[in-house]
Order: sequence, then structure tokens, then C-alpha cells
Amino acid sequence: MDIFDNLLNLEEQFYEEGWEEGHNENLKNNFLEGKQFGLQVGFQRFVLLGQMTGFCDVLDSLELGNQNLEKNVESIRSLIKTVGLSNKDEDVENLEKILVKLKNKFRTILISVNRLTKQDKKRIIDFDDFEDLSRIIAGEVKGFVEDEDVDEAKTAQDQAQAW
Amino acid sequence: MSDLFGDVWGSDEEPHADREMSYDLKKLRDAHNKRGYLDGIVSSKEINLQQGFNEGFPTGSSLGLRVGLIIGRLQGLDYKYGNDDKELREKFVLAKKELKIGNVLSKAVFDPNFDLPGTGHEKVNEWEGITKAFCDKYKVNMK
Repeated sequence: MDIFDNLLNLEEQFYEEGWEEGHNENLKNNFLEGKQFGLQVGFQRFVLLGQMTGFCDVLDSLELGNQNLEKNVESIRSLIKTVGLSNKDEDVENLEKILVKLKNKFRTILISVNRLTKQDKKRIIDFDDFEDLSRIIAGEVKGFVEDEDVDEAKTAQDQAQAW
Repeated sequence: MSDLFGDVWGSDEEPHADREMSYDLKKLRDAHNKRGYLDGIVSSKEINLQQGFNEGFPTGSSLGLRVGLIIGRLQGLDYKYGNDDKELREKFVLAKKELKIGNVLSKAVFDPNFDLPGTGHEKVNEWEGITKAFCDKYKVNMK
């Protein structure tokens, strides 16, 4: 083997080493990026469901004595029970489907609650208010912001923008 | 002593040969290693993203559900009793601030692998406690 062959082999070897290193780094970064994104989307998708359930807990305690309302609260609960927390296709599909039903039922619930509790006009909750709060809580997040450390917050945001 | 000089300066027969060789070799290595690294780091944009997503998702949904429950219960209680219960109203206002996604999923809460510590999510735990106290006060059954 002459010296040029050796040199070429060496170049190739160095390249391969570097590639392997970069590739592994890349896989690790991708995994963590995906995980952050999964945390975010999972959170966003479930806030409204929890919020509806929590509100229903309070309604039950008020014992408003309206059968229609009780029936609607019950069906909200059983619909939510069918939702799995995973990202499996059937869970995602099911959630999309029942979300429409849930929203409609909850809209009706709020209308009867406002009527039954005879709240003055200023204190009425309509469904838009209810959903707005859910959006504020689950709102779009620009990366994972560090509270104290400004520099790092910047990096996280830059990173988020790069995705 | 002579060994040391031998290492540093090379032998008389081949002046500087070792040093120059290793310097060139290092340069060669750096250049090709770096090229490989750069190719490697952009080699697989999509690989592992989905696996990471699937691992983060259930933790995220569980936190979202818990935060939603806290907010919904406090909102319901505030709707009914908030005008007369000042503390309740204040807590509801504070919860809306502290439980926003940016605070709940703050980097500081997680370890470098984006896992929660063994003690779970402190802020969410804390708010579950606060909410439970109000639910007990107003006889709300937390199902």
C-alpha cells in the first residue's frame, strides 16, 4: 500500500469518527427536542378537559336540582373518561371526536347554571370566557423559559424558533 | 533528561520529524473530523423526534389535566363564592398566573433529560393542596 492510500484511509477514518460523534449528538438532541414538544402538546390538549371536570365537581356540590343539568354533567364525565392520556392514534382520534360534543354539552351546562343560580349579569360565565381561560393557561409557549436566568431563556427561545 | 530532550526536540538524525508529523496529523484529523461531525449532526433531522415526543406526551397530558382540574374547581368556586370569599378570589387570580404553561413547563422544573424529579411537580402539588382546602371548605367532592 503506498503512502497515498494510507493517507486516504486516515482521512476517511477521521471523517467517520467525526460523523459518528455528530450523529449521536444529533440523535440525543432530536430526542430531547421531541420530548419538550410532547410535553407541551400533551399539556395543551388536556387543560380544557381537566377544567370542565373541575367545574363539574363544583356544580355537583351546589345541588341545583335540575335533571337536565345533572344528565349533561354526567355525560361530560363519562365522555372524558374515554380519553386516554397517550399519543396513540386511536386516543388522538377519539379526543378530536368527543371534543366537539364536550364543548356543545358544556355550553348548555353553563347556560342552565347561569339561569339556575340567578347570577347578576356581571358574573355570568359564558362558554367563550370559559374557553378563553383554558387558552390563557395552555397558551402558545415560546420555548421553555427559565424564570431567573435570562441568558438561558434566550437560548431556549432561539432554539424554539429554530425548530 | 536526555529522554525529555529527545521527546521534545526529536533525535539528531531526524530533526523535528515527529513533531511536524503529529502536527500535520492533528490538522488532518481536525479537518476531517470536523467535516464528519457537521455532516453527522445534520444527518438525521427526523430520527428520534417522534420517540421523544411520545415519551414527553403522557407527562404533559397528565400535568395539563391536573392543572385544568385545579383551574376548573377554583373557577367554579369563585363563580359561586368568590364575591364573599376574598381569599378564594385572590388564590384564583394567582393560580391563573402561576399555572400558565410557561411556568408549569419551565425548564427549571425538569432535569436535563426533561424528566420530573422524584418529588413530582412541586408547584402543581402545592396548588392541588390549596384547591383541596377550598373544596373541603365548600363541601365539593373531588371525584
